[in-house]
Amino acid sequence: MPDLGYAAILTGFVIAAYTAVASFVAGRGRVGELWLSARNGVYAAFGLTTVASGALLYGLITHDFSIKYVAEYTSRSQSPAYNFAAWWAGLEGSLLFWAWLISLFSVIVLIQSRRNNRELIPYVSAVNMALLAYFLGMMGFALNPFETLPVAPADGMGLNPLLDNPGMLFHPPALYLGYVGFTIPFAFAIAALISGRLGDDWIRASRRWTLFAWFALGLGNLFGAQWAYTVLGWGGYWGWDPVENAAFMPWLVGTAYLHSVMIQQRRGMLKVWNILLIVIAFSLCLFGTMVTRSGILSSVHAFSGGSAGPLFLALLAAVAAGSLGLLWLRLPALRSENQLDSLVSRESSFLLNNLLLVGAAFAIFWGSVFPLLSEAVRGVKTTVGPPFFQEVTGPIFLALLLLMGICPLIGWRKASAENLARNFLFPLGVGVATAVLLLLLGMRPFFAALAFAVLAFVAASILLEFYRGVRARHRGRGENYAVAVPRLIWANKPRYGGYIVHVGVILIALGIVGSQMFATNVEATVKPGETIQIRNYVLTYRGLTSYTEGDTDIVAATLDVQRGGQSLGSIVTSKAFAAGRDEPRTDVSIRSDPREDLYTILSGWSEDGTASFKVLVNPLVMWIWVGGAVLLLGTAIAFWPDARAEARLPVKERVPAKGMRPSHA
Amino acid sequence: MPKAMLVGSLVALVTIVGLLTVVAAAPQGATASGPPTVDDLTDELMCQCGCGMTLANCSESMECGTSGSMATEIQQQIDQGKTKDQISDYFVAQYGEAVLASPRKSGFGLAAWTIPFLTIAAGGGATAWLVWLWARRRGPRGHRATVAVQDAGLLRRYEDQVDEDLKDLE
Repeated sequence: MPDLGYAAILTGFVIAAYTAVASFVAGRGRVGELWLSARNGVYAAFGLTTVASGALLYGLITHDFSIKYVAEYTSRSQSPAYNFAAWWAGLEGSLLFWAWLISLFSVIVLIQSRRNNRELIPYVSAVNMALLAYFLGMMGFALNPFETLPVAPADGMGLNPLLDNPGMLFHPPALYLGYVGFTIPFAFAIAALISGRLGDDWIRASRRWTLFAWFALGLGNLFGAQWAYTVLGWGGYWGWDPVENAAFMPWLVGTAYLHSVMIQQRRGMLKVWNILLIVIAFSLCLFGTMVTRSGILSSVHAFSGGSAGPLFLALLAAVAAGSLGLLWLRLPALRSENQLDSLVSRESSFLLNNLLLVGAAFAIFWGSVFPLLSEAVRGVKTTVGPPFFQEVTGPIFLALLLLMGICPLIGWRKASAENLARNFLFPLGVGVATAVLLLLLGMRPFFAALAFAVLAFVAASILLEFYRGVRARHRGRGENYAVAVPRLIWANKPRYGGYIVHVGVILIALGIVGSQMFATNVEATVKPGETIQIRNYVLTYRGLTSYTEGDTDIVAATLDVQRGGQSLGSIVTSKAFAAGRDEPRTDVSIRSDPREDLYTILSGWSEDGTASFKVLVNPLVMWIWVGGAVLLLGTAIAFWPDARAEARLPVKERVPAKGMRPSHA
Repeated sequence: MPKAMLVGSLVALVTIVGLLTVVAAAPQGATASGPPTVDDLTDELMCQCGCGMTLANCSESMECGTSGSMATEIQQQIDQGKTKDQISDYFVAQYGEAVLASPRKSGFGLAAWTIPFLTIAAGGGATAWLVWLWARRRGPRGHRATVAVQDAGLLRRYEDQVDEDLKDLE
């Protein structure tokens, strides 16, 4: 089986390289036969990466410890689900997972484009297949997932206990879907540059891919945050680790892109900027992959990479240089079709939004690479950790939130003063009233009251948008309000889906502000029967129990919880010691409600039953996860096919492109 | 609505954003007046066990002897009456600058703190210049015909309709 997998990788490499060249030549020369061959090449490459992935999965599930990768990431006692998840748990396997996703997405794009984008699609395939060939080449010649051991061990090492969590089944794949998903809009952008079809075709064709990649990356980050919160046991959900940052940066740039393309689609402006944004987003995806695999930045997530770092650096350099070179060549053809009508317009507010989003991504990038720079310039190692990122990005994100409320209130082209005053009155009133009320109620620090006021302002501006739309339907079509809301959303899915995404962001921000500003913690060592007090909670320690589950020894502490004198039942927090592992796993207890989380960690214990606990009260954390679900809903609505949008497609998209033989479509 | 109000709104907006930036960038919850606590420092010092986390986070996420002994050292320094900065200096002397969870706001470290904001400011300046240039370049073709509208209500309904139609196109 390892031989079959390795042979599939090598053959896949040859096929993908051929397909990249054939697609490109077919696109340039409009050679139908060659394009037919290239199309088959895409299918063949997908088939071969599927065979290679199947071979690895077979080894993982059947405990073929003669394969080094299988011995390193699985064990006989590990559940089949986690043995499956080992596919993406290590460096070589994750490269294969990445390659399989590129090949799968390439096939989907090909199927989607049977009837349109015919001038773009050969180049899209060329880019996809070139990237696939690079990944398969890396595995074929440097980082072979099918490397065998001279003697197969009786059992494997299994996953790190921290990875032995359901999060492992969702968090990494979601991030990979995002990273690889950005390949497709990037490929369309490059195809537009090569083909000279620099209008909106490439944006329209890749819009849902961008949304998909953006969403998957966001979801991956949220899954990661939840995993960190529930498993790592430090009471937080975001550690500003370089690898976390690396996954966050392309999401921010992707967010900027999703907004700025609206200006191109409506006004024919920002064409260069949009291509640049998607190139930056994809390059940041590669940067993130490089960071995780090279070990150049100190991270809790890093794989030990060997030659992976230089190989990814070379790919990153080639992508950046190639894209920017092409963009330079096409600059004269990328002139804006329109000019701004006014300084105060939706367009200029979107520009500000882009500036802040890209600025936030840059600030995070800068903080992530500053230790390298410091060492290079001064020869002194430094650390850039959470305090830096919180302090630097805090004001940028708050300004972004404010802008999120302002943008919808400013009209396209030119906003009149009266129009502005009328639109701003209600949301601004709500924001100011919130600030005053919170400050009068004694909320400190001032920044927290300000942040909540900004969130109230944004929520009011979105509410106003919905109210106006619903009122228009009520007046114009006589629909009652309950019916008008879903119909309004359904009638313009991208717009109202986007607003629902904004609501999700508000809720996430609410949770972040609440938990960052008002978290309390207490550490205590207590004997059975003694109590720990935190805010209005009283926790009574009942005692320790120890037991064994499979090959894991567990020590668990039970505490009774009261809040404001009312019993809330018992909680259990424990530490689990897996056989053969030095580090125990901390199983925290989280009692969550909309107001706050009671987060209890068993830190240690002694023979006489005395135990040490760290207890935190983290306000509003639940809203982060609720916000994530709302974000999911909004994205799904925006993603949903829009019959009206399809009907609006220009005629040029509905007829075969000249030159290509229709029979080969 | 007079033009002055429009300008006023813009000035207010820029002021709010500026205020947000200044307020948010100010140190939060500074306890300069009282003696520091262990928690004040565990968030700002990195654990030296190789975990890549702050002392506060490392001590809770794994069994780590290093974070415990470092926390004890912090308490000893506090007991000696040292200030937060003096305690940070003590740890830097022991472990090097990398023990600080963020660069110092002086010397080369200042670049870490200022470059992001300077870049955004430069980007903002460039964007403002570009927007001004675009709006100015519109020339006579872009000027709208000025029509005296007697019925303000009619004009408002017309503008609302245009807004709704434009929204439909998004």
